[in-house]
Order: sequence, then structure tokens, then C-alpha cells
Amino acid sequence: MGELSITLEELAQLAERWAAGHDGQRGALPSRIIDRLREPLARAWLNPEVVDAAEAYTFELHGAKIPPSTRKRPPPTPSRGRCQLLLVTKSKETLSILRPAFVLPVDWRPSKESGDSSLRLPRGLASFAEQVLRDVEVKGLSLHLPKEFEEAGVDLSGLEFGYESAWAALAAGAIIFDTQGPRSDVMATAAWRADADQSEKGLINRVEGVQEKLTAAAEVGGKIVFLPRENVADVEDWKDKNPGIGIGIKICFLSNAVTKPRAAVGELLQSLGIPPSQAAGDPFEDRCKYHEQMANEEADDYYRRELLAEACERLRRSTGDLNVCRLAFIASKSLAVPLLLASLFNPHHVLVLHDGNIDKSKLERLTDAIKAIGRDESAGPRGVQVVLCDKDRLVPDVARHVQDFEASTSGKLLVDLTTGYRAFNLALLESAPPDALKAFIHSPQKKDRPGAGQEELQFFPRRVEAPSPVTD
Amino acid sequence: MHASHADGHEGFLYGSGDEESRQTLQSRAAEILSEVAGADSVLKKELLPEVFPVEAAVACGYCRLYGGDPPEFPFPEWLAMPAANRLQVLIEESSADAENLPAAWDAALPDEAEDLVASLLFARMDAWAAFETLDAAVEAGGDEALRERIEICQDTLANFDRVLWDRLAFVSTLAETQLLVNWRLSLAAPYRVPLPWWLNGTVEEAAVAVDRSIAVLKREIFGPPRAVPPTPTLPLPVAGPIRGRVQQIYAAAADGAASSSSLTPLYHWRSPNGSITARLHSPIGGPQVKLGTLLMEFYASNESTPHVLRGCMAVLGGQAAPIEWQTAGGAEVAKAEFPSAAIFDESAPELVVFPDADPWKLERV
Repeated sequence: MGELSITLEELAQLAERWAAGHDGQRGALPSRIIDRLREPLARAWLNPEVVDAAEAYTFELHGAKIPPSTRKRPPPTPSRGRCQLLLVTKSKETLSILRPAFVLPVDWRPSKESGDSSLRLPRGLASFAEQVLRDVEVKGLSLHLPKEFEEAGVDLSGLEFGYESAWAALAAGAIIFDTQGPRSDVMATAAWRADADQSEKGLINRVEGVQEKLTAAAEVGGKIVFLPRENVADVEDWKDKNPGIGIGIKICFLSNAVTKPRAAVGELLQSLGIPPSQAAGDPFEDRCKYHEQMANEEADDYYRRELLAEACERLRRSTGDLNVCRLAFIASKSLAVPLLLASLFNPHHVLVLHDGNIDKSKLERLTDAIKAIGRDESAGPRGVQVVLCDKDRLVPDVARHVQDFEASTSGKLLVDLTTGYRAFNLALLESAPPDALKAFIHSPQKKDRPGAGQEELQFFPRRVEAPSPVTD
Repeated sequence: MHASHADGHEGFLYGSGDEESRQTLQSRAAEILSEVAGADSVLKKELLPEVFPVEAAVACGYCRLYGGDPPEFPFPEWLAMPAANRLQVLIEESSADAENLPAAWDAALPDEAEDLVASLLFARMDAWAAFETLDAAVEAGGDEALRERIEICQDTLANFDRVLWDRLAFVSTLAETQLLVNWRLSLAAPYRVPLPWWLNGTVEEAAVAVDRSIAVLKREIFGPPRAVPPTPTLPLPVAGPIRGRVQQIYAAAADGAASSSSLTPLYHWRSPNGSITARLHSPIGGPQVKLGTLLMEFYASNESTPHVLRGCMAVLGGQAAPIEWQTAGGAEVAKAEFPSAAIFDESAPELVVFPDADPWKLERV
């Protein structure tokens, strides 16, 4: 415990003196309380009456007009490695000067050795932080009070809080450490319980003081708060009691299914701007769900990076080997379908048709992507022909291009009819040679693109499956 | 020449400025005036002891300075002229004493040396009191001759001040006595703002400057003090960023921009005996900022008001400010207001509170 650390006994004494004072007769006591806690912590944790009284006292001392009260707590500031911990005030004796719960910012910082966390943290938090790092398998970090707290001399080493609920926030903060400026309005309070049978797995566990924490989060402008699913009833109760406060805050629940620690905070990470990834072990379904919500510009890259391989594999299982050597399709804004088909069939030659409405740079990006996707270096580059079709003469123009493609290449052709508008599709269908496979990707449409993970390859007209041989 | 000594009092008569002292003063003034009034014939008036009129003027003046009512006001005109005449002589004598102070100081024993300086400041206080009486007499309709006499007297007094100023290093030895504190405490509110130069911190600032000069001289003669391994402590506030904070608030105020007010003090000091803490406030932000001034607050460890500091003078970074009393938050608060130059020195500023004069310890708490 540091020489300047505040203790529970001291806080209780200050609270007692505060309670003994009468309105406006407390003199410098509010200032003394703020001095003792130090301003950044005081503004976060003290009851607004105390801060107001200290401000009023200071202004009166300066002979200045007392400003109107600013009861709102300062909003948390984003910073690399910062976690917003929702902590509950333990001792009831201190509640006349302290809020029932408050947001304590702490920072993960790079560290050469484990156990390097700050000595000014509340007692026990540093060792808990080490445990969290082990849970999420992150190394080279240690936990500290924010710089502004350190510079102000905040020392919490004489105090103890319940830390189990800080698990989710600390875990997410450690995982996203390399991301600059995570959101400061996304908060979490959830404990972790390691599964006795599976050493690497466990589940999100319920926490205490949810209602006080939700109020504290709302007061500092928290927009999203993640809670254990087991605390649903507390949330309902809080909403009933605080109809006004609850409006601006979105409450999300962390699943209580047995899983790995990283996956347990997956949705929290997404809210913090970290997409789920295959490398981190996030489930395919979570990645598909994330893809659904993405803006079009980013969705293609994400699809290609995080979903394509598995989507392709699933599709391959249902389509079997069709021996497709050539692919023809109409260029569109989304790269997903062409990439999926190119990846699925690995054709040697590709014909890309467009009517001039598609952006040139997008077309180039599409061409480059198609050339490379799923292509083994030893097989050489995939031949991609990009052709412009006259909108006013679509049918003959498309037919001419397809014939040229047919003439210049060989092998089974698959004509994709998923993308493009109806007239363009009809022109392509009309132009397709009789022996070509005419197919389209069917899936529920999300934001003008196929829903990732739900793709099905369908043929036009429907292929009639050969009847199974009768054995008896 | 001062009234207390003339009466044979040892020490300081008007120390506490309380009701009892004011009554003593009034009685003293009344006593002198009744003796004067007893000499009711013109002839007898001429035979009055020379000292009586000026003593009466001084006694009545103190009544006013210390917040009491003089027994006779305005001062009788027929007494004013002899008082002014005698005052002129007394000030001239005091000026001569001040001129001769270095030689007298060298010749005196240590205790006597302090008395020599004190008697000069007593004379200056008496002169202030006498002028309060005489000025009031002129304003109440004194004749032209009296006005001219008083103007001459004031020129003599200005010369006395100049000589005293030249002897400031000697006068500053009184900063560590209770004398200046008592005078400040005794003054009635209208006379506290502004304080006269020997009570407004000038003497204490000179004392700090003399101490610094002596320290420099010692270093030149004996070399730097032997290095003592520092006790490991928490880092003290760094002067640069603190000055930056203040300048930022001033700059924002000068630009008319709103800046948030900080409740974090710029510095904390602890008194030598550890019982009192001084806290230098950040200027309050926004349009209400007092450009160029910083407020220091004193509080006792047990949150009680540090009454022991009443009338004391705080010197921060070589700049003096009287410790005053104010009500804030429904309680009495001791505070001092410094020019911001007090913290614009290169290093963290040193705080000394007179008359104790031991430096306070700069710390984080």
C-alpha cells in the first residue's frame, strides 16, 4: 500500500464528517475530500453533491460567481489499451460521499515481464489482471491506472473491490490492445468461470451490482453495456425503476454457453470495432453475422478474408466436382459471388461482362481478385477477359462476346446468372452454349449481397438428378 | 516618540486590536486631553509640555487606526498646530536615528539592536496615527497655516520613509518578531487596504532576499553545502508544467475562451511543525479568472481554522501577501493572494510564513 493511498477507514471518516455537516457549513471539507481522492478519481467516484460543494467553495474563495452545477460525470476518454471497469462501492458507510458504482479506467500497457502492473491499482486487481491475461492467452501486457490518474497522484492500493466482474472488460481490452483508440462508450461487466472439465473452456458468469453499474455507465455516456445473460432479470428491474435513464443505453448479453474465453467476449470485441476472425477462433456463424452488418465497401474484403474458404468448402460438399474449366459472369458491385465461384471451381478462363456502369477501379479490383483467387502458382495466372457490352444491343453483343470466349478457350463452361439485371441476365442465358452449365447462387439477400454462409448453387433449368439405381 | 514608550510601557501596547485594547487607547487619549484641557488659560496653554499635543494627536490617531472612537473628534484646532510643530521635530529626529542606524547597530548588543530598529518603526506608526488626527483636523476646517505646516511635515515624513527604505535590510530583522503581525491584527478594516509599506509584506520580502543573499555569500565563502543523500520520497510537483497550466488558463481567459476549472491545487506545502497545510489553487477558469493572481488557502490538519496565522505574512517565491480571513462554505478560511509571478521562477517556489520564517515543506499532499 502506497504512502498516499486512500483507505476505506479514511473514506468512512470523511463520509461521517460530511454527513455531520449542515448545508453550506462544511467549509473546506469537500475540497479536502477531493484532494484526498485526487481530482480525476474524485469526479468519477464522489457523489455529485460533494463535487458541487467543492466547486462552490473554490469559486466563493476566489470571490467569483458560483457556476451552475454540472452533475454529469466526465465521459471516459478512449486510449490505446484502455478498459472501463464498472466497480461497485463496497462499504455502505461511505455512501454519503461516494456513488454506489463508478467507472474506473485502467490501461493495459506493454510490459517485458509479467507481474509488472502498477502498485497503485486497488489491492488484488494486479494479480487478477495476470489471471485474465492467462485466460485470453495474451502476453507482454501489464495493468496500470491511466496516465492522468498517475500524474494526479491517485493511489488506490489501500482499497479493495470485487474484481470478478472486471473480467470481460479486461479480457477484451487485452485482446484488442493493438487496436488504436477503442470505443470508450462500450462497457462490460461479466465474470468468467473456468469449466472444471475443460481446462481451456469456461463460461460467462453472473455479477453483482448490475443496477448500480448500469446507472453509472449511463451517467458517463455509456452507449452499449455488455452483461451476463444470467443478469437479465436485474436489467428488467433496472429498466422498470429507471425508465428515463435506460433509453439511451443499449444492453447486450454475453452468452453463457461453454466456450473459449476469446469467443466468450466475441460480441463485445465486435462492438469495440474488432471483427471476429478465423485466426482468433471465432465461429463461422459469428463471422457471417458480422458480415451481414458490414458496409458494402468493407464487406467484400472481409468475406474474402474470413468467410470465403469455409463458404466454398460447404458449397463444394453439396455440388460435388463439376469439372468446370471456364466461368462467365456479369460484373456487379459485390465481389462475393464471383470470388466464391472462382474459388469453388478454380476455372482456367473467366469472362467478365459489364455494360460500362461499373466503376473502372472496382472492375480492376474484381479482375485482380479473380485472377488470383484459389489459383496455385504452379498453374500460372488465370486468364480473365473483361468485355464491355453495349446496353442498347445487349443480346447480340453478349452473344458475340460469349462466342469469342468459346472460340478462344476450351473446357466446360459455367455461366453464372446471379449478378446483373434481368435484361443482362436474359442476354447471357440466351447466349450460353447448350452444353454450358447455367447456375446461380441462391441465398437470403442481405444488403444486396448473398447472405454469407447460406449460399446454395442452383442450376437453370434445375438439373434433374439421375434416379438412384434400384437395388432390389 | 511612540505613545506606548512615552507612557513607560514595555513591549507592545496595542497588540491584539480587541475591545479591551481599544478602551485602553481611548482612556489614554482622554487622559491626555483632559490634562490639556485643564490648562484653560492662554498663558497656561503656552506653558503646556511640548509633548502633550502630539501625544494627544497620536493617541487619538491610534483610536481611529484600531477601530475605536477618539474621545474628541475632530481634534481641537488650537492643539493641532503645536502637535504638528512637535511632530516635525520628532520625525526629523527619527530620520537622523535611521541615518545613523548602521553605526548604532554595530555598536549595540544583539537585543538592543532589535530595539533600535523597532523604535524606528514605532516612530513610523506614531507618525501615521498623528497624521490621521491632523489630517482630519484640517479637513474639519483647519486654517491655512495648519495646512501648510502639515504639508511640510509630510515632506519630512517622506524623507523618513526614504531613509527607512534605505535601511530595509535592518528593518527586515523585525519580520521574524510578532510586532508587524500585531499591528496588522490591530488595524481597523478601512486601514488594512492598502496596508502601509512596512506592513504590506515589503519587510518580509526583504527578509527573504537578505536570507538568500546570505546563503549565496556563504556558498561563495565556504563552498556548496555537503551533499546529503536524499531520502526517497514521491516526486514533487514540477514547476514547468504547473506554470504551463496557469498560463494556459490565463491565455484562455484572455482569448475569451471558456476553460474548465480544476479543483486540483498547483502546490501543497506543510508548515515546519506539520500542523498546517497551504494549498495554492489553480486559477478558476472561464471569464471569471483573475488574471495575474493566485490564491493560497491555509488549513489545519484537523480542518479547524489556523488562527495562529492571523496577521501573518506569507512570502511565496519572493512575493509577499498578507494572510487574510474570509468566509467560504459557511466557515472561516485563511487565505493569501499572490501575484502569479510568485511561481514563475525557474524552480518550485519556496513558501515562508512570517514571523516564524522557517520554510514550509513542499509536498504532494
